[in-house]
Amino acid sequence: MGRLLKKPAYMGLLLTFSLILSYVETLLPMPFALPGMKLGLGNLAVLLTLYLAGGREAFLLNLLRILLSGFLFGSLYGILYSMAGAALSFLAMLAAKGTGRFGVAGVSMAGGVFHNVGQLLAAALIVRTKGLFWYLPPLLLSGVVTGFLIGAAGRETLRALSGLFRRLP
Amino acid sequence: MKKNDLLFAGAAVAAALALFLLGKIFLFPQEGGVVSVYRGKELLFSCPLTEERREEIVSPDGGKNVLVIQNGEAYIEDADCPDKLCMRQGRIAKAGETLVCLPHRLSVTIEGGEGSAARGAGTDKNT
Repeated sequence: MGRLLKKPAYMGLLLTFSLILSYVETLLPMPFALPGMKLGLGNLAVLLTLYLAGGREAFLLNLLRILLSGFLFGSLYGILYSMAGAALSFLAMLAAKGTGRFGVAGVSMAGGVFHNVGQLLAAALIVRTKGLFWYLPPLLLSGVVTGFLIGAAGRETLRALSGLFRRLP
Repeated sequence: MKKNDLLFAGAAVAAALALFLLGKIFLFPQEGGVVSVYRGKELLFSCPLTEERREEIVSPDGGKNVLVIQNGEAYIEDADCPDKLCMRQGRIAKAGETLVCLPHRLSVTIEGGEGSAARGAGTDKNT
């Protein structure tokens, strides 16, 4: 299954999927006021690619996803923060999956938590105030919650896909 | 869900709580006193929270935020950035609490009053 999905057509499918998720995310009202707090639906596509294809493919998808969704739905500033968050998040997910000791939910939670840490670090570089420290605890918590939700969705999607792809040539 | 997943979630929640308590007890223990407004790391102005004030802050790129200090609280009344996250962050009054506007690189922080050590440390870090 892993090798099958390295084909460009499937990568295109996953990238499109990630863009649709990013769009859906812009439609969701976020009741939380803290900047950087979001569901991170797009990470579902990254998570799936990580499991279905591999680290290199997931990295490429992540990069393209941020650039494309940033220009489509966001701003240049948004891209900057997303990049910082995604870089740390991706490394965390790669490391967590590499150990082989975490399930899909654990890998996704590592991604969620470190995405928020990365974004906060980027924000701290731009607005240098120690008041930003107060954002860290709530952002850690939201990373766990959103990471778990995305991870649960990812696990079920992978389960469904594994049946589907077995039947493809 | 593996056992390690739960352990990771627990560790992250514990870290969040520990950081929150650490901040409450050691980093910003006092009640608020002075409102300081920064662009990047440059201090634009600061004034006591007891003052009633309405300040229009214009960025070099033309961006605008309206800061209001009233009844011992500070909040952003109006901003011309697209997301208006600074306005949605609400009102702040306690030492260490901060409003940020990332597009205009603006931050409004409450710093400890009475010439306290925390205020000194805060200004050191920002210079």
